[in-house]
Amino acid sequence: MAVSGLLYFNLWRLGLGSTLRWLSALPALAYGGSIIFGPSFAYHRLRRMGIAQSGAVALALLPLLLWMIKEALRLSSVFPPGPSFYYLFNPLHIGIALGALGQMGMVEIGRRHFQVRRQANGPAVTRALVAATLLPWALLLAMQVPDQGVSSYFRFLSGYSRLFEGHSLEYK
Amino acid sequence: MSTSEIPKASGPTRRQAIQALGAAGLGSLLASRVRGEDTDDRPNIVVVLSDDHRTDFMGVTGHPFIQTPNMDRMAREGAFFENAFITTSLCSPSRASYLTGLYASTHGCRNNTSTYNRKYPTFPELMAETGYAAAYVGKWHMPGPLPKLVGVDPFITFTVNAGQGQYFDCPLVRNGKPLAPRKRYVDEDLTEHAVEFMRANRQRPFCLFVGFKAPHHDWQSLPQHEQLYQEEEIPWPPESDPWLGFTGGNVLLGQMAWTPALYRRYCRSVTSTDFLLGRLMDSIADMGLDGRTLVIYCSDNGYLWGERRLLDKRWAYEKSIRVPMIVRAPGRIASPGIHRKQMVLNIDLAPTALSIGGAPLPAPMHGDSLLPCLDDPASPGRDALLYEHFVDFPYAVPAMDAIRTATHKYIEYAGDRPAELYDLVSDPEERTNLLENPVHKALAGQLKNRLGKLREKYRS
Repeated sequence: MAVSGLLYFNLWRLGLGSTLRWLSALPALAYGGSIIFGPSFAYHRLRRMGIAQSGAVALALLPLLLWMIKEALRLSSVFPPGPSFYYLFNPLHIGIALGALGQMGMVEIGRRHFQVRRQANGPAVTRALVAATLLPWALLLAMQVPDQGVSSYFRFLSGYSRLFEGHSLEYK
Repeated sequence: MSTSEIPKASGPTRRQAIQALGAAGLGSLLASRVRGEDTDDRPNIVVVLSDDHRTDFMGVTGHPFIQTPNMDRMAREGAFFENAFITTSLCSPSRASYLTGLYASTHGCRNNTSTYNRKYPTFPELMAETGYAAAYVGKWHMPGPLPKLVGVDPFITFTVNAGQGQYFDCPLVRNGKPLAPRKRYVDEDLTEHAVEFMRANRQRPFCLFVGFKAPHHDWQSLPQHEQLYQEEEIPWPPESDPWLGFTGGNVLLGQMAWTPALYRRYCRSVTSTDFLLGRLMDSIADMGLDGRTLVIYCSDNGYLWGERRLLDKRWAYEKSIRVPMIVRAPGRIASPGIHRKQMVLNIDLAPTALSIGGAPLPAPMHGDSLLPCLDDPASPGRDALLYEHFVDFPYAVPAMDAIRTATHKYIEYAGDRPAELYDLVSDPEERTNLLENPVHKALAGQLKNRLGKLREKYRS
């Protein structure tokens, strides 16, 4: 994530002209991919290393959390600590985190499925695991549904306004 | 000139006279002078304010493929202000500045989450006071409860998405009461309401403010424009790439898509705006009001499409602060098709409308009427403008003030970001910060000093 990010954000400085438009695809896809799919990939590797499920989830989410903190720090160059901290909970971050949890659940289901096929006494795919996998996806889907025309972004903005400006953005 | 034609103003002297009359409570006397004895022949004023329309995205300004026949026609038949700017490059503050003639630091709506101080009236309210039929139809988008615009009827707007509205099936609010949409595309719906207002009031002078949602993100267009510009080559700035929409918080701006696709959508949305502007102008002509109606087309701010790797407004750079400003007034403009070079601002709209309508200017009033510049190419206009930006959550754009003269721009930021100085004549794209070279320190000092004076003038 860090390497591809550094590459993507600095490639333009080389003055590549129109080449930049297609060359940027490599670090851009690597950077975006590491943010969106990185946690589930890391989770898979950690589980193979024998790390327990909860520990693997926490460790796999760590780079994502660091990326979110980096984004909040970017904002803190302009805003005080309160709004910068609140920024951590923006719908993009929440959506990516939910997606990561959902992916990890799918990875775990896949792992157990293949383990059971390989050895009869492997850990079973439980209802709790399926529910824990489906829940983040359902929440992510629910975030996309506007409530009376209000999207999750505007709810987030309205929360900021209530917390830090002392008034609502909703019209009365 | 017949009495039904749009009267010419006599510049600052007239402004001062109107201010004096207003102070003495004699504004109505002036109004009756302009009106005549029996009928009120004052011109109609129609302002069409679009959203995020950058000025070089029009045929008349040389965009390589965008189709804006009605804006081009307006410029051909009217006057085009080549150097029109806004004082804050953001929807809510700029809209409030258009309506009040005041800087954001005065009217209070500093960003998209702060409220506008209602002690400063909007110009449609002031026009209504002098006997104009006044209407506000369109995007309001200033936080806080919807105000009662005194004398403005109808006041039609939308409140969903914190006032940003939605392009399709957008519920409206008319004089505070819910109103179901009649057309799917919100700006088409608004256009219908605007035409209805003009038709109902065509026997008396009216002042109509139309605020389109387009071409704001998420850049939707009328169905007939959805297939436009599929193959055209986009003139990208060399520092940009197609992934910018995914970075730097841009996703939160609704830009989670391939940037060329967004650019094309923006262009289509501009064309839809143009189409509806044409419908408004055609309706004015069909009602026989052409000769006595002044139409102004403008936008609340520009937009950076990849310049400096930004997809945003807010910044003090040229693409962000330049806006279209076209005035069409048959019978009023001596040489249709004229281009004016003077620097004009969003805050000039209110005093222009009030001057035309013979309404007294309220105090404070930061803007100047456009009429002297409209009438006289040699009119000096302003020699410098103040730009101000206040932080706007959740965008990592620092607060800044800038001064722009005909030749230079000096930008000061809050926090650690170093100041910037550009020579707009030799470096119109603002690529070289002259402050990196000590040779220009003296010039920077002069501009810094002038910036301070502008702050004092407008923030006292």
